[in-house]
Amino acid sequence: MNGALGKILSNKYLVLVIRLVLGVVFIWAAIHKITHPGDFAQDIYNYRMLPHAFINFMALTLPWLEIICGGCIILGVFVRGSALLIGFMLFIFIVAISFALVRGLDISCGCFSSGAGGGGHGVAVDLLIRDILMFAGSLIVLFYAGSAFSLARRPD
Amino acid sequence: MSRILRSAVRQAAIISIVVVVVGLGFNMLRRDGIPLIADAEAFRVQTRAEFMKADDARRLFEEGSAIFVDARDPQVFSIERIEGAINIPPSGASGEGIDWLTDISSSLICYASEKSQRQAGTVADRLMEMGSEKVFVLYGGIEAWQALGLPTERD
Repeated sequence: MNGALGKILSNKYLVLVIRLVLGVVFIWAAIHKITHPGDFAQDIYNYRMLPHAFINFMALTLPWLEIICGGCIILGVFVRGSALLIGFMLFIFIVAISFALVRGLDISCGCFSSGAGGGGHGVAVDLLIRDILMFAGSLIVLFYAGSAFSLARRPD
Repeated sequence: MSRILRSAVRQAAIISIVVVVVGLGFNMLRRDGIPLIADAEAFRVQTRAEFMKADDARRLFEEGSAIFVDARDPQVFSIERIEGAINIPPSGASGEGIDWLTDISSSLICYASEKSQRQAGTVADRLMEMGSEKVFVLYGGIEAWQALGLPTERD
């Protein structure tokens, strides 16, 4: 993508802001899930999308994927790989939330507080919009990240 | 474009390997880790009621705005139960005896043991069918309550 739009999207300050936002959101989202894997497993189960055998594996690895990708994208290490994985996770979240909304599931989204029905945010359209915006942000970082504000000298 | 994607996929593969090692390793080392393969029984609670964490249930307990409904068998109930809980096993979750529960404004928090959560789900569904609105199932059962050191009582 060339021209004016490409110039805007590759602006190092814009990319930095998106990296910081994505990083903080994903690290924040991971903390409760890491400390309460059982609750998060219940949240995953509530979406009724995964077979039982994979639920705990997901509950044990997904939060670490979030926290490590969040850390990498902020520090500027493996930025493109982190952006790709964050984009992939957001794509899955978008599908899962849409699926829950279409099926009318009244469940905790499991996004931050891992509600297990207790205090989490329920699935709703605002979550969908939030995730779509962050997904767009991850694509910008994936394709336009440079070496500015990064520990790694090159993004690849 | 393809060079960017190739580089991203290579980095993503490295991160994924690290994530699996760290995630599973951390779970093995922690005292309250969960099994890698879930016990199907742990999730097999088919209920329309929402789950509530013990932490949130504690808040309602302290405010006095919840009634705890023990869905286990009476013999087990008499051994140890959440302080102030009433006993309604699935076999008793119908009829006039429990009609009064539909007229109160408190939250109804149904629980059983972690392994028999289905009983709590069944009772919660019956209470909802009878017209109760604020019905929950205690996530993790009485064990989650005990793990927080919250009050229980015995006969």
